[in-house]
Amino acid sequence: MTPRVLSPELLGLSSRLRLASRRRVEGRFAGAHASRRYGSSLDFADYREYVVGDDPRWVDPNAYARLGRLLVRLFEAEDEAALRLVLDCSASMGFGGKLDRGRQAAAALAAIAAAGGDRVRVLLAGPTCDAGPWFRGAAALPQVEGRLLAAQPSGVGDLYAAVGRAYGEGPRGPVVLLSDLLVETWADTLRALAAGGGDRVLVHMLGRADLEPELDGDVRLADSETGAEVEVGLADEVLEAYRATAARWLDDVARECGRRGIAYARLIDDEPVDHLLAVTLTGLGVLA
Amino acid sequence: MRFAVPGGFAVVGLALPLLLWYVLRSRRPRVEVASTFLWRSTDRAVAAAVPWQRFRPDRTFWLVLAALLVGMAALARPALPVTAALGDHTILVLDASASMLADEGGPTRLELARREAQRLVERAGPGQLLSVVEAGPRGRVLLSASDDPVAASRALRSIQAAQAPADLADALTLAASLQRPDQETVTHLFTDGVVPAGAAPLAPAGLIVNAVGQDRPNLAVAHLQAVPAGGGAATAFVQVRNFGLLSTDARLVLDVIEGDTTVSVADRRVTLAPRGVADLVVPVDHRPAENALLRARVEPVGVDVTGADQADALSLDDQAWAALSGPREVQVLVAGPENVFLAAALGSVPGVEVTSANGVPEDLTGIDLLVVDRIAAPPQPRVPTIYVAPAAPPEGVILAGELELPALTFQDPDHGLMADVDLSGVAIAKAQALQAPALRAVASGPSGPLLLAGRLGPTPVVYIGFDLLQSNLPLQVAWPVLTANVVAWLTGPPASAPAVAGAPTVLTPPAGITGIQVTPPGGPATRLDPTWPQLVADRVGVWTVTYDAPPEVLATLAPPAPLVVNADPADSDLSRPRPGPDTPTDVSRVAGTAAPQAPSNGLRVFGREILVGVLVLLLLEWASTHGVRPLRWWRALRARRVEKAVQRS
Repeated sequence: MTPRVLSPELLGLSSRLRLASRRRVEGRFAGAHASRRYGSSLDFADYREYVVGDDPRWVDPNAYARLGRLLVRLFEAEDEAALRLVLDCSASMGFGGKLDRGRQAAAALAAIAAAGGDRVRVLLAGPTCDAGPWFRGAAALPQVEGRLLAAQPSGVGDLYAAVGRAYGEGPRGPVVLLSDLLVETWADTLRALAAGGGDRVLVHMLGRADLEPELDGDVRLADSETGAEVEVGLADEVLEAYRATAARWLDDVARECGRRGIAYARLIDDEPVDHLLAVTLTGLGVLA
Repeated sequence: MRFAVPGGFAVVGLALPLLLWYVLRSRRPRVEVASTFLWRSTDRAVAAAVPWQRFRPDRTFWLVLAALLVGMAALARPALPVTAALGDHTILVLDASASMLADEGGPTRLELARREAQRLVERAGPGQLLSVVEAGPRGRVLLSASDDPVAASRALRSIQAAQAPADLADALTLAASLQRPDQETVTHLFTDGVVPAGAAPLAPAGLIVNAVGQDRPNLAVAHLQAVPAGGGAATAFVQVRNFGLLSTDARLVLDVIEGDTTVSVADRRVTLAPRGVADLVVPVDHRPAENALLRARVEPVGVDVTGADQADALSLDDQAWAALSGPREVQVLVAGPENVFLAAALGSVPGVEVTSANGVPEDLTGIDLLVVDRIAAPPQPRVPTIYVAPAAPPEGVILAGELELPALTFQDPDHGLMADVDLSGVAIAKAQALQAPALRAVASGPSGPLLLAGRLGPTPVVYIGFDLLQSNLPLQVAWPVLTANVVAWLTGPPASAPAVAGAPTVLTPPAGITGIQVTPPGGPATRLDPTWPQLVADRVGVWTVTYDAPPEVLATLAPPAPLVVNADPADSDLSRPRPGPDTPTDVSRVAGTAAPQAPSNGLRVFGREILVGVLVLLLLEWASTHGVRPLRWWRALRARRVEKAVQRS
């Protein structure tokens, strides 16, 4: 029996939520999200000039009476959303419960997408990007969970390439990046994330130890990804300086996300995922 | 335990700077975190810059301190006094006995000994002298005090194993003679046995015994004797021995060899216990021609307890020879008054036909042996002669008077006449006082010789200096045995006993010859002095004997019997006690005798070995500092191998 990432409670919560695209999507199948194309729904969208070949039934006689021009009525189309979940699998995600929380969040988002009839793709961003297939429907949920469970932290995550890969294939749709962004090039990653046309969401996975390290004495800190070492004398003032640096960095990330139109949510590894789903992402309009 | 460089302990002073270094710059433990990105971005310096910190020794400190102390010990170069393998002068003595021909799974024991000796030669430095002595049946100096390793190697290569036992006493005496008082001499003996107790006192000081070889199975024909059984037939007494530590089955084949013809006369199968002996009496129902030989061959058959073919590590002793007596008749003429004892004793010797006469006839044609009993002897013996208290002795023997009740106090046990003869109970009433410089006293008393043997001119004679009727000798058991020995010695034995390789052998040539030539198997020929025809036969097999004599003498002689030489059973024991292989041993512990003590003048220094320990400690320190976990690597590697194996299966 495949071990489950989602708890029954989280699965129940996921069944009550839907993706709420803030931007128009572009799907291959009909769905519940406003499409970039025009369709045949009952919702009026726009007028355009009549051209030969248009169905005369869509010509608006009232507009012709007022303006003396032949205008054709256009209606909204609704497509499925193609959700991309980019999960950071670098070595730093293996510290604390970041990766486990990332797996749960990603699985919950995938379950929400499946319940809404949307398709989903899980990209694992390790030293190389493992794009994986598209999944659709609730029946594919165990496969998504199996793929997430197979993700193991190792090396330096190439987030920039992974995000680029997420935009490079398939129809337009929302992209959710789940990462701790503990790299020098975090701003480049956000720039790449903002380059897409759909909704962009960053779930910033943080460990409590990243924010408030419990270290003492003089130590050599070794970077789990690069092996680079920093000698530190952990006096109170040094720890205070580190906390201030961490807080400033979090503000910078949030500010950069806001500047680039990326929805920013923060998840610390000792916090529950359902709060992220029910409160944070819902508040940001990512979920409804 | 000594220290070659005590000054190396001064390195311990480096411990103080090491301590200061740890105080001044405390070593920080390595902690792996998710990322150091934020730490590097911190505005203020995060590394402590306080020079004097509390001394907090960690694992690396103890490792470095241990490396320092071990390195100090290495620099001090601890040394143990050991027996020096090489001295100023190193004498290499190699056992070249027959047992060194044993197969040691490819190379022979001699080859193993040669390799060990060669290693010592290669270790010799400039100025160190080398000598090589071959310990064969006779010791031989092949190289004397040379500083040329090439010459030493050449001398070692020239050593060939003999087919006879080694005379270690002779070789060790030679080695001792090579010592020089101003040089530190070490002598190495490479042998597959122990130094005999008799040779140990002769060993030079500093003798190291290097044992070669391991216990090996071996079958041998330890003894073979053909005894005439009358009518031309013979009885073969064969002893087969198993020198191995496992029981074995063997096949024994007896062949009669007559010139180029070989006739198999017996084929037996025997089972031999571990280190067991089988004595077999085999009738040889075959009338042999003149100078026929009996050959016994033994070979292992079947498999041993491990299922492997039975092995035999030494082939030299797998066969033995014995001479078969031909249908030869000896004509004996007894000249003198009637003597029942003499006639009866001579008549009991197989093949002897006795005739009597009152005096010595002029014509002795057809007479093989003349007995002059109490009558005047001719001046010169013309045929082999037994003189029994002659009234007038021949030339070369001076009658100096008469002895009353002479005591018989000496008999020569090594002489052929005295084989199995005990004259201790003989009493003599009257005897001749004799002087015979050309003859050898075989039995004598304080007053002079009583029984002599030798040659008068070219003719062998035996001189009994008392009347048999004036003694109780004819009533002794020794009398018929002595008579048979005398007939055999004077006319040649009907079947000579096989000689043993390495032991002195005396031939019994007929009268009238001027020279003897013996040729071992494979040659070359050797000439012997006919007046003392003794040799040391050092080669196993059938030796050819030829006589030099005037043609008219040669025409009357029977063809000389070949000399058969068999291996010494002492060399066949390949499982005899010896020191373990590759364990140089002091001779005093081997022989258990008061041998000269080997000097403990060498030092075994352990500097380099300890430096390896220093390197290991420093490697551990490096691994600890850099977070390398070799055990973790090893476990991961092992897990990967198991995983691959599972996948393959």
